[in-house]
Amino acid sequence: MNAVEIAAAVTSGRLTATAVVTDCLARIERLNPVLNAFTAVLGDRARAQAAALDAAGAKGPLAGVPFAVKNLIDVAGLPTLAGSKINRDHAPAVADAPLVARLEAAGAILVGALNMGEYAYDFTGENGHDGPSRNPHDTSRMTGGSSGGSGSAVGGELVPLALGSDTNGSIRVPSSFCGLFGLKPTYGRLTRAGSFPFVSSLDHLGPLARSVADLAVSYDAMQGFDPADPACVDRPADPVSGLLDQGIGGLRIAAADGYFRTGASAEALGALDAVAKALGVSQTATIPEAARARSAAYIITTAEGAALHLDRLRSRPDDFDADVRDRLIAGALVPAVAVVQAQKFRRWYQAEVLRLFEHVDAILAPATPCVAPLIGQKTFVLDGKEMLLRPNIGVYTQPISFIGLPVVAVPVPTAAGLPIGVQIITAPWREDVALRIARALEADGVATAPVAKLEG
Amino acid sequence: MKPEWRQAVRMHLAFSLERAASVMEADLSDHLDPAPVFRA
Repeated sequence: MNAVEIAAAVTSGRLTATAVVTDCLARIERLNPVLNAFTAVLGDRARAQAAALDAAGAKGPLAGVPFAVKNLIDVAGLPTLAGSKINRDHAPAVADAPLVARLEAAGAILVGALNMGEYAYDFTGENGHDGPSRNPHDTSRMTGGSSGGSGSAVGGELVPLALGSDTNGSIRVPSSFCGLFGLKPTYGRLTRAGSFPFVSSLDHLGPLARSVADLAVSYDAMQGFDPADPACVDRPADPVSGLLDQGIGGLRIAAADGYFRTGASAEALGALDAVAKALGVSQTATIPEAARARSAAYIITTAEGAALHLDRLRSRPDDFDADVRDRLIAGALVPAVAVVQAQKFRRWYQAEVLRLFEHVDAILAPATPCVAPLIGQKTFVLDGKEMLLRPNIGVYTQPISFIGLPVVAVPVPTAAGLPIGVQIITAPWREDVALRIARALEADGVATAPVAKLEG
Repeated sequence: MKPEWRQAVRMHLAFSLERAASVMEADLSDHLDPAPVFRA
């Protein structure tokens, strides 16, 4: 069952929260050794929470819904690992992150913390300390990252809902590879307080789920200003759950061309074309200078990430995942003038892209250039050239998060048997439009979260 | 930096500098404000 179905069953009394949590924990125990999605399972806490919910008369839009969070999000009593070895020495968090508290206030039940790429500098879902999270549709393949455990846990139906973070694509890439719906909200919409940062000027938090309604209900539960996050914008919540079935009549939707059709695999382009056809899209949109935007996002990321970790790189370099350490050291050597120029370019690019939204309400683009690669794969062919995999999986996600636009990634089946994602990109604060389009695709059966065939 | 890390760091730095060169080629106004504190 997805999250809203569980909540309906628990609220109506057809199921108890305790029964839901018991089933969930049993499935985690059986399948986590296969998927390596969880780094901590909070059985006692979840059972106690479920019992309290049942005793009080379960209520709330997420009543009894188990969820888990990427392990860069604070959970009281656990050190916030952020995928690292170094943070294991940190004191446990004294409180849950606000987003965890908000989901629990809506009735959801936290069952654990999830594997991720070290310090979120990752698109693969591989982790040198905890091992790779595994793709539920083919366990020899990557989940994508850095929210790899989130993709694996929801894709494998260990939980119906998980939180991830997205700096350059870390919600949308695992959503694509694991066949999920993922929401990266507008920059500043959801509080990041109580989460370990990567690139503060690009970091977002958001949900991954198996249905659009689950994304919407969880997103609504998490909205609201929080002064503890300096980037969080003080504006009223815009609930979206009641808007999903308004349809897409009157919406102007275009498919991205140019950069976003260059280098993509047949599967990625096929999924984009299938979505465009289902929506009756004939218009195209050219996002200007997307390649340079991707470069600028890359520069800001590597330099800001290196600055964040410089002390740790100096004092404990051997305790980093080597793939992450080597990229961060390189980031520390990037000239400052390039970083400042990248930030200036960001202003120019934002103005240009926002102008596009005077003529369209949404733009479609591939989420990833290919389906999930094999775990351990280091290179792939992009635009006819063999390139490093790790820094390049996000070629289509980086130019969008660079300017904080909201995106829903929707999963599309492919002939290869593995899913792949398509991004629905809208103007700032118009998550509702992206979710309505995603809902229409889900209702048509074009976008669907495939069921994994797992044995454990 | 340990000698055995240098090759990988050099490779990543070369990739970063290619991206940096692309950014530096952008013809931007002197009056454009950098966006370190960003608002969507």
